[in-house]
Amino acid sequence: MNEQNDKELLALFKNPETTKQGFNKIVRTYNKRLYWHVRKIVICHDDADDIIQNTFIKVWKYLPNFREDSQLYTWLYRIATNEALLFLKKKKKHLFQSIDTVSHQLESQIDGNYFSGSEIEKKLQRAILTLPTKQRIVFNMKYFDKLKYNEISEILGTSVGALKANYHHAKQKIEKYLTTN
Amino acid sequence: MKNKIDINNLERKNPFTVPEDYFTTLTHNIMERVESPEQIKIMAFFQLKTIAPTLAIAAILFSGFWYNKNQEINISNDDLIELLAYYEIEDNLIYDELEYEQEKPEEYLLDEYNYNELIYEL
Repeated sequence: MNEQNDKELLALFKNPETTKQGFNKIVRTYNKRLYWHVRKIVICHDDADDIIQNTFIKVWKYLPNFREDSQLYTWLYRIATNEALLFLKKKKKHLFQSIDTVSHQLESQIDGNYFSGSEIEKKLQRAILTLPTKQRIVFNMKYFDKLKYNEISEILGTSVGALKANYHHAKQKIEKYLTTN
Repeated sequence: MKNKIDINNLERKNPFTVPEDYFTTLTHNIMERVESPEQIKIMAFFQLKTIAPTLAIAAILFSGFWYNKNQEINISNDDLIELLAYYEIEDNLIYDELEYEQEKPEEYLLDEYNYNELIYEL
């Protein structure tokens, strides 16, 4: 993530004459990264599409109040993560289901459309889905997105120590699943 | 016993895919929603399925109100007399409503009451 680039994007957005142009650039810079982050949480493409659109609508609404205490990309990740978690919470509530049942539903989506992984990649995704939601998010951010612990800490509001423990447990559970299944 | 798998040795490839040109369409959709904020509010807040019964009731009530409103504007003396006849209102009942006996009660009623009040009384 380029901090200087973020500053330029924000300057463009904050100038009343180039607000929409700046926002368009922010969307184009971050839509892929945020989409894949959300997609790994909710698995289904259509759900991820809804969530990512709502995420950027919130960004549009709240960006004028962004105080730049944190970096733009961590702020964007935070909004996207919250939107995805809210979606899972609503899904659980709407269907009167436990989070385990929701996980089974997500697992069934792996065999659905827009998945081109090999058998081992499919198995890895199934193993990841056995983790508690927050542990799953931490694992994905570290393993696939290659974010640093301090960046994840800023996004999720969890201490670096707790994140390290989370990732360690997640890795152990996944390797056990892959070895025994 | 199977050998332990170390995930650090696996290829970290994204196994998910998206429809063709998805990210171009996504940017376009977001910008479109940003440029029509009213639509966002309505679509996000209401689900058509949820409010359909309420909308149907509101439409019925509004059509009744609108019908009466229009009638009030267009009603003529002849219309009212015809209406009174239609309801077969007995003269005596009308006279009971009058403070003084009138030669032409229909005209008195029209002067004293508006159409809606009269319908309500009937």
